[in-house]
Amino acid sequence: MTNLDTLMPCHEVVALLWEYLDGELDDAMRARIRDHLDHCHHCTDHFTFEGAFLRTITRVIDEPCETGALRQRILAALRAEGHQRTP
Amino acid sequence: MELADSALRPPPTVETFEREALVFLPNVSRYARVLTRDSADADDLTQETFLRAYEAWASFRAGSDCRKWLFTICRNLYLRNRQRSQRFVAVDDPDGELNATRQMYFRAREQGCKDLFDRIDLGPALQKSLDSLLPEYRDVVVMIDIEDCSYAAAAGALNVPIGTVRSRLFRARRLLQQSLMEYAEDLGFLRPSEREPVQGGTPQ
Repeated sequence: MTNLDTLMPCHEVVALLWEYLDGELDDAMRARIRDHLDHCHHCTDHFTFEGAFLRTITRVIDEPCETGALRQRILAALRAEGHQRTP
Repeated sequence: MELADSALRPPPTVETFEREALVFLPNVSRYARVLTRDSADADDLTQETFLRAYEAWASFRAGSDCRKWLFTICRNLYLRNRQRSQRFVAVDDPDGELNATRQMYFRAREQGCKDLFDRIDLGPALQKSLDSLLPEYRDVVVMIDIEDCSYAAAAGALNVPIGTVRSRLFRARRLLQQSLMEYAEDLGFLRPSEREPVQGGTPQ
């Protein structure tokens, strides 16, 4: 049972928002923040919002693009350096 | 760490390289485009990345994350090619950036758009915003959000203090989020607010 008096205040939790989402905090601090989030729907909503933002960045940047011609170019460059396909 | 710690492997056959490395060409190409913002430069960088990976194949540990290894090579080549200038003195204000980000969240919440990022396709807007960031900001975003680097690893690769990574990352995210909010306004998902100009930002 968590003593609400010992919970971190919202402003301290939000100050660590990015570090938390990026996995930069140690286990003890992560646990304290999780404890706060378990009791504070305002901060939970905020963290959820920013988590969705980070997933959007990752999804957009990491979206593969069409590379057929470039693939041929790289294979040609490898061949030019003497690397051949197995006969 | 991706480096092999035992006996070096022989050079791969082209078929092996195609199967294990070139399969990630679309991802690396995309990554290079984000870094360079120029398709011709990105193609050159991508080719250089794969040629370097082929040469260094013996030091890549089988079974580890080849995609991540290729991203690392790509990023290091990019940084070297760019011959980074030393004009940056990072004294950004990470707490101020966080506060600005928080205000944007409050605005979305007040307008019932807490799920904004899941509701609309922000891809085109985000790409444009990324392109508008200064390279120093874009670097940290791609390293941390795509390569999944730690702040310390990013600091090491970029040869800057960890506090600089932190401040650049927070600022970059704030700028990106601000752009996306404006895009959402344009689409009518959010009511317009008094806008601040979105700029690539000048490291101070």
